[in-house]
Amino acid sequence: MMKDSQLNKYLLSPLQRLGAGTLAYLATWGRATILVLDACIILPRSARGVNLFLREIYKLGVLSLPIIVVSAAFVGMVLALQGYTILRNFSAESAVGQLVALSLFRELGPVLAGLLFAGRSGSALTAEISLMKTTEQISSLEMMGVDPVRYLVAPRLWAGLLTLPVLTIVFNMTGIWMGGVVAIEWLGIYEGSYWGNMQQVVSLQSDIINGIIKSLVFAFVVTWIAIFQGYNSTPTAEGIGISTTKTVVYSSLGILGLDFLLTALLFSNI
Amino acid sequence: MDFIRIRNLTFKRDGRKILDKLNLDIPQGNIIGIMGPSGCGKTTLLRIIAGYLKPDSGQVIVDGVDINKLKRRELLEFRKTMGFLFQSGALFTDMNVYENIAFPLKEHYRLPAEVINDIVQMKLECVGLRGAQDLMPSELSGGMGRRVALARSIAIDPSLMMYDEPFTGQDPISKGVLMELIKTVNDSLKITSLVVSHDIPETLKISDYVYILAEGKTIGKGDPASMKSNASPFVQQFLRGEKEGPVTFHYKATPLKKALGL
Repeated sequence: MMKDSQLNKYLLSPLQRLGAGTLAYLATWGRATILVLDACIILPRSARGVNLFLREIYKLGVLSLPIIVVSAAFVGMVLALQGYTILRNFSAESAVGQLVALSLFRELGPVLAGLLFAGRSGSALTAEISLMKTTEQISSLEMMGVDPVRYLVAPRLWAGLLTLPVLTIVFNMTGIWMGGVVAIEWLGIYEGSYWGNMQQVVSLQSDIINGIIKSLVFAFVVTWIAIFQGYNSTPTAEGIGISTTKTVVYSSLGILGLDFLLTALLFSNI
Repeated sequence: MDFIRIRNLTFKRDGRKILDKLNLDIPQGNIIGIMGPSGCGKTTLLRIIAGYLKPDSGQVIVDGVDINKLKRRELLEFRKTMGFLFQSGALFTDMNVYENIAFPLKEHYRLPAEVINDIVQMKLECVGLRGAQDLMPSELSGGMGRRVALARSIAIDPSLMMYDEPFTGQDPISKGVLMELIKTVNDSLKITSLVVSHDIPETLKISDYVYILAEGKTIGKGDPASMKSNASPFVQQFLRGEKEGPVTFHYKATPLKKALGL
């Protein structure tokens, strides 16, 4: 007959593992929430704080411009080409302008800019912070009496929040403009109908501003994930790799999942 | 009065006791060597004194302040009176030597650029690296990096300096330079210095008093000269670097024959 201790081992092990896993999961969420709340209340006030904030805007935003502009150009061109091919069947090819604009403002602009931001800037943020942790630079800040949340986390969080919406606007503008180049110069759509239809249909509130709201939410989620993964990484070479991968995976899934929720909330009256 | 007073300090990691009811008294103005084999809790002790790690129980009083009772903001403020030299140097890799040393001054005080420059130049002169002020950390040798880190940690004139394995991985010349610097910094700034190390001759040479730790406890203490006549077999094994003694060479394992299936 099985002894009590053996029975406990077989019965309790999965339960214990589930319990330990749940506790660890909740603890991680708790640490991530405390970190972001701490950072949210620290606004860049002094000249030095503003300098740190501007430096992060440059690293996260300006350095992301090439990938955003090039991607947006191709997305706009493909949208115009695909839209034209389909709309031509209904003799509605003049509506290609509104198709390009609405697709970009409502969905593709915020989502693709968010995914690119996660891949380029989010991963860089995580790698930078986790490498600083591995090389004891964060401990060094602490030992000098400098709060790493104020010095490292807050400027990056605020810079991320400001940067992605601006990058999304740049993405939308580039996509629409390059879509126009393909539609007007190559496919022969009348220039007036490309821009005119777009102007008639696109609404500032329901299309442009709602798209920006989406990008703000994505910016918060991506930057939060990136910073926390860096801060919470295991200080080894493998740890840096794992954290960076987690940032890209979690951010991408977060963006796609939240996009559905936000679309349901913001565009539900359509 | 003792500058640092540690009472019944216990610290556990993953259920294992790293420090076990440790008691230490560190007088002001001295260089105190804390020695012991790897993994005996030396670095952990420094981190607890700096308030970076919280002990499971016990009391750490630094300059009359109970470190564990300080709130986070108060602790950060208190750390301005401490300097910490990391084993790796922990220099900021995106700043050059000058900027690294100026960093704590710029973060904590609103000083004119000329004053900051004067202080940085003096600290660089002290560690003999004034000519290297424009170099990036990646361009420095290990010894130079540690000297820059030392200059940075004394930039705001701390009253307590903590050195974590300052001699590890250093060539004999760098070791000599670092020893002299630790002594000079301690005497000229009239501060208290804690040197955690397992480099026996170097630590004994510069220390005024030595503690030897093992298994989370103090197993030997006294001035460097008295350590050689210490009766503890552990102290003797550690000081002579002998393979056999109270500390076994092999980590606890099953017999080799059993592992080989013989």
